[in-house]
Amino acid sequence: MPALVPLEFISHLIKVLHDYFQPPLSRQKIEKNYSTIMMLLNEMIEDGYPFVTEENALRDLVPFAGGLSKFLPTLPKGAANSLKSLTSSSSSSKSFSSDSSVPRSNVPWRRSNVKHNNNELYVDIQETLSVIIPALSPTQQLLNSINSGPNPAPSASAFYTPAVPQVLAEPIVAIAHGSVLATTKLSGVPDIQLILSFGNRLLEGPAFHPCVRLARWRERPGTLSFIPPDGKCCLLQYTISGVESGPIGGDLKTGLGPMKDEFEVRVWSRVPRNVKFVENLRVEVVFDGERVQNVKGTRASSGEFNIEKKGVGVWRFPGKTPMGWNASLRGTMVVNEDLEAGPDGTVAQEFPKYIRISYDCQGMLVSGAKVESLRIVSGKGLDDRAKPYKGVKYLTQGKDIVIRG
Amino acid sequence: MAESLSKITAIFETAKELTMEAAASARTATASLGEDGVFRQRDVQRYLNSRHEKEKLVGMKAIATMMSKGQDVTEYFPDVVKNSAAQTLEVRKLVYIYLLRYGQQESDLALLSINAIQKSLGDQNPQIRAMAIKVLSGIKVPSIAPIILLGIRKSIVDMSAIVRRAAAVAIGKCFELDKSNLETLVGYLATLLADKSFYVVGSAVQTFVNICPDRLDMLHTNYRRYCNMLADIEEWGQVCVLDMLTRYVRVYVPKGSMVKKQKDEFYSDDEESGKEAEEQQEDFVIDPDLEMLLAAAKPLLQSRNSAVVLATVNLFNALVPEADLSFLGPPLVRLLSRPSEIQYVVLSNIAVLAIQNNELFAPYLKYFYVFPSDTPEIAKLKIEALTLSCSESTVSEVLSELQYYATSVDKFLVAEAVRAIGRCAQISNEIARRCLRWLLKQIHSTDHTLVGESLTVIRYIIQLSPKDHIKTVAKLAVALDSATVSLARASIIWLVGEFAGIARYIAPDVLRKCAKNFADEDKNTKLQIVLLAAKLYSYYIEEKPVQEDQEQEDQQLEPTIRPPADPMDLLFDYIMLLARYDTSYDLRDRARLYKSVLSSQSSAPIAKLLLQAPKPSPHAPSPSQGKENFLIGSSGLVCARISDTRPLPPWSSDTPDASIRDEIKSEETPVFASLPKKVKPKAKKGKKEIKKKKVVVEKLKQVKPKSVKKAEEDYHTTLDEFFGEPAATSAPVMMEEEEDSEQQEEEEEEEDSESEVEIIVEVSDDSEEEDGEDDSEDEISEEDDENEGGGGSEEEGSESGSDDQGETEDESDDAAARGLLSGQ
Repeated sequence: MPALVPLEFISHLIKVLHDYFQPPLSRQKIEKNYSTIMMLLNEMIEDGYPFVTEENALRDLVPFAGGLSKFLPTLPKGAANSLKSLTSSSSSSKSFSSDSSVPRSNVPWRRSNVKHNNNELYVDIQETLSVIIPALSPTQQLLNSINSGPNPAPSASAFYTPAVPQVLAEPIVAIAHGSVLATTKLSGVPDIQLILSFGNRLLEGPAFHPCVRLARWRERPGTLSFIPPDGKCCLLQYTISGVESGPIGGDLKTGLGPMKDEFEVRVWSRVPRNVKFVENLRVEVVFDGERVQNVKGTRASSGEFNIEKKGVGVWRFPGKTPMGWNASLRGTMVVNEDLEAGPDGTVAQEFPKYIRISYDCQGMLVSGAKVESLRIVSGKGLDDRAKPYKGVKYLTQGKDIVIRG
Repeated sequence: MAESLSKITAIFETAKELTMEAAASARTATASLGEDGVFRQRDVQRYLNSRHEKEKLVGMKAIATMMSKGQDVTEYFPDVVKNSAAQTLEVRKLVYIYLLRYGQQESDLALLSINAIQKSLGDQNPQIRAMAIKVLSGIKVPSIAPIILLGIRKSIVDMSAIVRRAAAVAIGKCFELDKSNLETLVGYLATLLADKSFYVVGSAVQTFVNICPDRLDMLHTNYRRYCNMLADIEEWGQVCVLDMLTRYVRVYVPKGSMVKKQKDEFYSDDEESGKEAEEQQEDFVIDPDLEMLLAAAKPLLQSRNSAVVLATVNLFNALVPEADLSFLGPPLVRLLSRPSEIQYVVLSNIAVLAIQNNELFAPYLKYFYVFPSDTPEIAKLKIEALTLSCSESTVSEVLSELQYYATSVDKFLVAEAVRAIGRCAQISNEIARRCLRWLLKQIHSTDHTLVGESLTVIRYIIQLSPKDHIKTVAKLAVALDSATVSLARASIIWLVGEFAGIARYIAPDVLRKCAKNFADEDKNTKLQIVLLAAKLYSYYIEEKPVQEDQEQEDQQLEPTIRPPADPMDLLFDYIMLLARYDTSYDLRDRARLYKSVLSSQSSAPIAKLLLQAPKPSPHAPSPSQGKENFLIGSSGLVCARISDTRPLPPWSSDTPDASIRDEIKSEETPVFASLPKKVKPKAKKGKKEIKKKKVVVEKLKQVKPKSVKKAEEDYHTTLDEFFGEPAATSAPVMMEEEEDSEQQEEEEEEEDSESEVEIIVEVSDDSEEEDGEDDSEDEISEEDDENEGGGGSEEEGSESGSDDQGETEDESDDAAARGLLSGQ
C-alpha cells in the first residue's frame, strides 16, 4: 500500500469525526458515540483499504449521532416517503428511500435532500505565514546604530511612535500556505461561482476539492466553479512564496549596554491595511538552554516575559494588539558557571539565538489575495425567494516568523 | 498490506480500551442501558430479544459499545444473530458489524444468519443489497464460499453501482477465503473492470491488484476508458488505477524514445496526435496511448489527496523520465504544508527524486529551509533535499544556510548540517576549498558535535585529493594544540598519520608533541598515537634499509645496548614502552603487534601493507542513496522494513499493436445495463448454481492453456477476442452463461448434466482452434494498417468463414453448438 494512503486516511477520519461530533473531539464524545464511530469505520474501510471517506456520502450511510434515526421508519416502503419531509435534514432518510437514484451518481460529494431554513454561504480564506529573516550583516547593523542612536531606551512613551529600524534584513524565506474554505448551508443543489484574485502572484501547485471544475480554472485562473458538499469543505489549497513578511515585524540586537552583555528584542506592528489589530501576539526568545542559566534584568515596555521551558522565554501580549505600535524587551543572559572556558580562558557571553513570532490577524491576507465575487449561479431545489446570506472572511496566521540574531 | 489499515483500526480500538476505566463514570449513548457503564448480561439480552425495534437498537448499541471497549461479547451471539433480519437499517448494520467481527470464531452460529443475509441480497434497497454482499464475503467461514460466489455472481450485474462496487470488494475477500476459486473470480472481476461506472472501477482495480495483479492483459480494452474517466474515480481508487496503468504501460505500450523520426507502426490509427506530440516535445516521441494517459494523469497532481499526487508523480517518473518533468515540483512542494507525518513521506520521496534529477527541485530550495518547528526527521530530510538540489550557482546560498544550522543549538541539526556541507563539497574543487576553510575554523568551537563532525568531513575532503591538501594537514597539526575534544584529537592524529607519506615534516613533530602528553590522552587518542608512531616508523625503516639491517642484527644480539641513533627510533620505542604499560588491553595488543611487525626487515613488506595501504576514497552518500529502487510513494521507500512493494515490470521491447486497446463499441456495452434484468430472475429460479459454476470454470480453463502455449502477442489478441473485442467481449460470455442456465434448467428435467458440460467444452475447443487461425490471419491483415479491430475481424470472418463464437449467430459451428445446447 502506498505510504500516504493510511496517513491520508487518518486525516480523513479526523475530518469525518469532526463533521459528526464537532471539534474539539474529546474522550467523552468518542465514548458516547462508540456505535456511530463503529459504523463509520465499517463504511470507511473495506478489505483493508479506504472505501467511502467523503463526509457527505457518509452522512447518507451512517445516521447522525443522536439524530432522528432512532425513530426512523422501518423498511416497508411508502412510510419512508411520508417521513421524508419531516426528516429531510436528517441524513438517514436517504437510506430508506429512492432505490432507483443511486446516490453520488451526479454529485458524489454532496448528500442528498439537503434542506436548510436559513440559507447561508461563507467563504474563509486562511493563510499561514512562514518567514525566516536572517541576522543583519555588520554594515546594516552599523547603519541602524547611526540612524537610531545608540541604545534607544524603551519607555512607555514609545507607544504609537513607529520606531521601526531603518534598515531591515530581507527575509530569505517567506511562504504563505493558503486554503479557501467554504461553509455552505444551502438547500438543494446549488451551483456556485467564486472568483479570487491573487494579484500577479504565482500559485505553486494548487490543489482542489473534487467538486471544483478544473476546466473553468484553467480557462480563467482564479475562478472556482463548483457544487459544494453540504457543510464545510476546503475548496482550494495553495502555496505562494516570496510574500511580504506580514503585519508584525521584529528584530533582535545583541551586545548592547555598558557591559556589552545585553540583548534587545523589538516588535512592532506595521501601518495597517484595513486592519485594526492582531490577536494572540506571542514572541518566543530562544537561547541555548545548556549554557544559559537564567535571564536577568528583563525590562519589557509592555507584555509579559517568562521563561517557560529550557531555552525558551515567551513574551506574551494578551488580547488585541493595535496597529502602528511597538514594544521592546531588554535583558541579559546569565551564563551557566559550570561551563568550560573557551580557548581564551573566559566563558563567552550568550545571547538569544533567534526570536519566533506568532499571531492571528483577521481581515487581511499577506499574499494580497481577495474574493472578487461570490455568487450562486443556479440552485436546483433552492427557493427562488430565498436570499442566501453570503459572507467572506480573511485570516492570516503568523505561524513561524523566525528572526535570527 | 491490507493489515496496515486494520492496524489503525486496532490502534483506534486500543485507544478506546485505555479509556475503559474512565468510561465507567462516563455516560453512554444507550440512555436506558448501561447508565453506569456496566452492562448486565440479562438486561442486554432482554433488549436484544425485544419485539420493539427501538429497544433492539438500544441493545445493539450496548453491544457496539462493549465491542469498542474491547470486551468479548461472543456470549451474545445467539441473541444478536436473531436480529440479522431486523427491520431497522441501523440495527441490521450493527448486527452485520458484529457478524463480521465474530463470525469466524462462532462459525456454526454464524451460519444461522446466512440465510437471512442471502435473502437481503434480493432486497429492493441497493444499500441493503450492498451490505448483504459485504457481510456475506466478510464472514470468514470457508464452507460458505460457494454461497459467496453465488452472491457475487448476482451482484456484479446489479443495477445499482453501490452493489457492484461492494461486489468488487467481495471478490477480493472471497479470494482470500478460498483461493481455489481464482478463475471464477477473475471472470467476475473482468465484468466489473469493464463496468461503465467510475464508482465501481476504482474498487474493481483495487481488487484486481490484490488477486491477480499480473493479468494486465485484462485491461487492454479498458485502458483508454480508464484514461478518460480517471478524473472522476474517487481518490482512493485513483491511487490504484494510476499504479496499475503505470504497470500496464510498461508492459504493453512502447516506450517513449528520443528519436527524431517517429516510428510509424505505433501510430496505426492516431497518427495525427502522434505528430503533434512530436512537435511539442521536439524529438521526444511517445505513443499516443501513453500520451493520452499522461494528459489524463496530469490534473491529478492537483488532487487534495497527497497519496494521489505521489501516485501521479510515480507515473510520470516511471514512464517518461526523459521528458521535462519540472511541473512535478510545485505539487510536491505544496504538500509541505501538510501535517508532519505527510511532510516526512513527501520529503523522503523528494530526496529520491532529487537524486535522480537534481534540477527538479532547484527552483524550490527555499521550501527546504529548516524552521525551528520542524521535527528532527523532517529537518534531516530537508537538509538532504537542499544539498541534493543545489548547483554551482545556488551553492553559496545553501552553504551559508547550512553553516547557520551547523552553529545552532540543536545537536542533531549540527551533525546533519556539517555532513551536508561535506556533500556540497563534492560539487567542485572551488567549493571544497571554501567548505574546508570554514570547517577548519570550527575545530576550535566548544561544541563537541560540531568539532567531531567537522573533522570527519575534513578528512573526507582531504582524502578526495590528498596532494592538494598538504597545507591543510599542517593547519590541522597546529589546531591539535588547542583542540580539546578527544574525538577531534584522535581524528587529527589519524589524518596526520595518513598523510605522513606526503606531508613529511609535519607528522614526526606531531608525534613528538603527542608523546609528551600520552598519559593524559583519552583511550582513542592513545590508539591513534600508537598507530601514528607505527606508520612513521614504517616509513622510516623503509627509507633506511641498510641501517635497519644493522639495527636488526643489533637487536638480535643485544638490544639494550644498541646506541640510539635516530630520534625516530627513540620516539617509537618510547611510545611503544608507554603503550606496553597502558591499562587498555587493546592498546597493549596493538603495540605488541606493531612492534613485532616493524622489528625485522623481513616483515617490512607486511608492515607497509598494514600501515601504508592507500585508503579508498571516502564516499559520503546522501542518506537516501540506495532508495532509488523503491517506487515513488511506496511504503518501502519510507520504511525499509516494509517490502510489500512489487517492482515495476521492465519496459517490454516487443509490444503488441495498439489496436488491442480499441474499446468495445458503444452499442455493445449496454450489455451490462440490460443484463441484470435478464439474469436476475433466472438466478432466482436457477437452483443449480454449482453446475453453472462448473461451466464457467470449464470455459476459463479453455483459455488458460492457450495463453501458456502461444506467443505473447497472440495470447493478447485471443484473450481480447474472448474478453472484449468483437461485439462479444463479455457479451457472448454472459449470454452463454444465460444459455447455460437455461440449459441447466432444462437439464434439470432431463437430469443429464454431465454430457451437457462436455458439449460445451467441445464447442469451445473448436473455437479455440479457430482462434488460432484467426490469429495468423490477424498478423497478415495488420500489414495494411487500416484494419481496426472490428473491421479486421469482419474481414477475417468473410475470408475464413469462421469467426469467433460470439460475433455472429450464423456461424456454422457456433450455430450447431447452440443447436446442440438449446435445441434439445
